[in-house]
Amino acid sequence: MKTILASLAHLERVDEVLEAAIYIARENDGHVIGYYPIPGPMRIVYTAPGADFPLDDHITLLYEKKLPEIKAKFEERMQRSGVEYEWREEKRFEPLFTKSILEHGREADLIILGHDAPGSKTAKEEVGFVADVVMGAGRPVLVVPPAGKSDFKINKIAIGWNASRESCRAAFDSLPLLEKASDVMLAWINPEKKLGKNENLPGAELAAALARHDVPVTVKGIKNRTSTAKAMINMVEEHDIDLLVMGAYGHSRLREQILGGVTEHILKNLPCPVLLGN
Amino acid sequence: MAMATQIAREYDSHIIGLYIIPSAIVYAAPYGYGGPINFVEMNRFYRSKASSVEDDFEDFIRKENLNGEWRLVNSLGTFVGDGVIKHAREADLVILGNDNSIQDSIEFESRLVTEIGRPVLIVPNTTRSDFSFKKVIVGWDGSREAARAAFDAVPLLQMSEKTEVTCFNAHKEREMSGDLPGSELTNSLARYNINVEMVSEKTKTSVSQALVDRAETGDLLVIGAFGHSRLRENILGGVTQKALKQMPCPVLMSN
Repeated sequence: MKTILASLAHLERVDEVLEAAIYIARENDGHVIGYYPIPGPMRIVYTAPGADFPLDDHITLLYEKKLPEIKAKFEERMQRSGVEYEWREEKRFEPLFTKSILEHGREADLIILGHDAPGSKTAKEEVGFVADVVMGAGRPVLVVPPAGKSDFKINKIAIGWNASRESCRAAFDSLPLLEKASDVMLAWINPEKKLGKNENLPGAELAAALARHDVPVTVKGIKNRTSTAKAMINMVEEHDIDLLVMGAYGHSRLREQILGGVTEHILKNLPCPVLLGN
Repeated sequence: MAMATQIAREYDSHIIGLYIIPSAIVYAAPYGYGGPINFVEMNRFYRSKASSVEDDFEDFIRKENLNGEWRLVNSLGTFVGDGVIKHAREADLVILGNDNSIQDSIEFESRLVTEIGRPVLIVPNTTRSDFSFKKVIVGWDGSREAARAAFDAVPLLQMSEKTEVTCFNAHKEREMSGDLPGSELTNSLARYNINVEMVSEKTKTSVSQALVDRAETGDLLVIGAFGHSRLRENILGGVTQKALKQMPCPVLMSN
């Protein structure tokens, strides 16, 4: 992962996003792009006969006002870390961030997004936005929650695996991170549902493929009676996991992207940083 | 196999020879089409060939001094691809042979590429064994699939002497903006020590034709595979289809 696009569009998560970007760039000798899109004004829908179409530009103004502060913070932190970096600010026409992040993210190895705290009011819209980026980018997306007590680190990684196209994508996309981890757990929740009872080594072939890349991988089948998402969150807490790697399942309904239940539940609760692949 | 050898030598990899015997499931043949005999014949044919192919594979691995493993699978359906998909999802790269005279083959490949989630390298039957990647053409249009393919190809691009990121009619693409499409991509690839160059051109013929023509000057074409899944049938986009039909050189596809 040489080129890392750190999206600074989430103004409250700038610190967390930068911390993750610096950590990964250091491990991989990478280059961090601090991307700061300034959204365009929102056009307010027609209200009354004869009325104008006013522009709601308070968000645009907010992002313009914050620009020097965030840029200074970015440059100060990057200089301190000694990582190669580049600042990229861009004034956009559209009020939403999806298109701008996709355009830039597709030309980078990894996209890092900040994410709302679990249970916050805007968490639902946020999940939709992450879904759009993950489905559209074709690149792995790292979603970073609000900072916890400890520093950002990636030692223990869990891969949620179920032999699907998406989880396969996520597993191989995260290879550069897996190679540097001290402990990688390949977890399959309720494998007998998909495999039948006869196959007793779910994911063994993937583990062998990862081991050929010198990844310290262990395979674990987890049986759980509650939902898959809850089982994954339990696993993260129980094993003190630093990063969860999983496929993002989505259905595109017209132009709106809808995430599968497990991905959505994980994003709403975000127990640790999550790397999504699609 | 020649292709697998090249790559395996470079990366000290492990080659899995996958041989799938389609099952002799008896299909209901509503119009008397073909009848069940076809499938039994196919099963018998593959079964009879298995041991000689295995010998060839083992010989090859031994002669070239590579790591390899032979996997013989009896598939449960008549579609060989299902077996390939299952095994391929747990591998870094999938290599397929291609016979571009058969329409079936294109359907088979399109389904594999869109469902596997791994890059698929398709080698035409005209490729010689002393093949090497000198010049690689990466087709770029700013799309999700193109991004996938370009980054999936990084280990192969590192083997090449020269890589060209090629973009036709950039001004028409909705998903790109800026004066220099793909310039950021070339920067990202260059960080992997790839000798990469951006080529942006306008063409009056179709983009697919232009890209295939360009690919004739290179040793590998890297493109995203666009699939629209229409019910369960996958329909490939124009560029992908053209590249598979004409197959000017080996093609790496990703989705």
